[in-house]
Amino acid sequence: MTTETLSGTHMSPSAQHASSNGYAAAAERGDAPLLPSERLWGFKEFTFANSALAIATWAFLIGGAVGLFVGPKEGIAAIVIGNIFGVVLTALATTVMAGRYGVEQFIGIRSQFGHNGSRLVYLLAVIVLTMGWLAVLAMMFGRSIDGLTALATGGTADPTGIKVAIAAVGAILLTWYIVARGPTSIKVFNMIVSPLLVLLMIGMLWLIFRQHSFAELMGMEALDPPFEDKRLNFIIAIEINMAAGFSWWPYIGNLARLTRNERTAFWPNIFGIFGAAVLGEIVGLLAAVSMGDSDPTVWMTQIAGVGVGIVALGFIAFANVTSMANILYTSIVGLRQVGTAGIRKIGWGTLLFAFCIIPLVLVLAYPQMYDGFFIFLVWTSALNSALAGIGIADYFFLRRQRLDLRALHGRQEGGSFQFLGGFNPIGLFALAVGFVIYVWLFNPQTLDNVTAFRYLTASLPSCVIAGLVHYVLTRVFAKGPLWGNYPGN
Amino acid sequence: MERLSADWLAEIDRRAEVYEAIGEEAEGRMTVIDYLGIAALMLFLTIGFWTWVA
Repeated sequence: MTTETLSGTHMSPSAQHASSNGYAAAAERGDAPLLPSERLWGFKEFTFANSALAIATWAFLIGGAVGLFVGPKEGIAAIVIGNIFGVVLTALATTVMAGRYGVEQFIGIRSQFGHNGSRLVYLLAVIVLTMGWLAVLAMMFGRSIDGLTALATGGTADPTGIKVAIAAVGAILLTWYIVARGPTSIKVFNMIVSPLLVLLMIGMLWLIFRQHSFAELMGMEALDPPFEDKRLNFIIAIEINMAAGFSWWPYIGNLARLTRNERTAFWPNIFGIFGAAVLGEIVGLLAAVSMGDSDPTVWMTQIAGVGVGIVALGFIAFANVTSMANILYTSIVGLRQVGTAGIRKIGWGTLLFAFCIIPLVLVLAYPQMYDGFFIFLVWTSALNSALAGIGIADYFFLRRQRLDLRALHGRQEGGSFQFLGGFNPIGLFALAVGFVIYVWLFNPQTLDNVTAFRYLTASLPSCVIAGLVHYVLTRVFAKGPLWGNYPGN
Repeated sequence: MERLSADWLAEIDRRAEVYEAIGEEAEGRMTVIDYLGIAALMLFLTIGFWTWVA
């Protein structure tokens, strides 16, 4: 007896049994859609998993950066407002689709950008973001080690000195070594670091409130506001937090596909990523403003005293390597999924090392990136907000929540997502429009802005306009089976 | 496992059929209530915190 499939091929039961484990493993890697029975996470598990991802050292950095623009009261409001918009729009664009079909995110977006277009988006959104964060976190590691040795020896820390550079290079090489050994070693680090970071945050909050009342904290001023107009500083603080929320775009779709259904894929992001990021950033904000320095490696030594400061900085250094290992591993797994056959042939360790070269150059040649890291973060939002808008327009309004799994995973040449040479010019044009709109409203490099930015932010118009452009141009021009096979076109 | 081999395409077919059989009424689908709920939460947090700092 054989089973006939829609493609007309036949499989014997023994062949089905022998290959079922292999297919399940391939589906877990993202090569095929995961079936509901193969998905691991319920509501609680996914909430815990993405809380662990969100509770990372970058939350302290983002909170500290917010303190440069606004005081704690406005800062808390900016953190909540910015993150809820960023996380919800990103989750709508990525997790609902992943929760319904179990499809790998960058295979899923073939329907929006074409099979080669999704590779381009991966290159822009994941590789650039990950390389930047690797460099920033490595520098944070270096500064933690430098601050720690200064505390222990009674010397003075030098944030741009040679010790920091050497330690930062060491952090990247250590991360490379850990990830090259495989995911098991990363899992061990995660299980230790996430709960300890929660304890550290609670400890920090306790230390802050021991020194200042809530009313005192809420009355404090920003550390270095760039404009006299407080409303403008507040909107920039919201924009930084929206950027933080949108920066989950490359990651959460592929976590959500491991959940059992749409609701389980969507709602835990609000409790997990939004809740955990808000907690971490508020701790970073309060500590930075009350200690007078936005750099966690500086305020941690002041807030906790010598003994606790040494332990806290040592732990922060360790936690940074864990965060770096997580994002490096995720990016390289994804790169092998979307990459060409040539990339898949490169050895795991070699590919990892090649990926680390640019972060190594950044920590040596551009250490100033650490102090202006929020500029880099906001640049990524110019892309991620537009990607979220296009994702929502395409999946909810153009495809009415229906994906063709055969077209997504089968032969791409001559398939539904052929478009022009594998690139959907409409999706890519909408992405470019969203990016240009963002930079016109708010230039992350110079903080130059137009009046509309003070009322609308930059991420929201970029998201909405990119989605609209994609919707309208697709309805008008994307006709035929090779152009996305949109229903009703 | 060779991508795009006949066995592989058959497996994709099988998985696609599972989802087609599930249809639109599967348990745990996001409904209008979910979308209204998230819109209300965003509105509540934004207005609440905006008013707090105003």
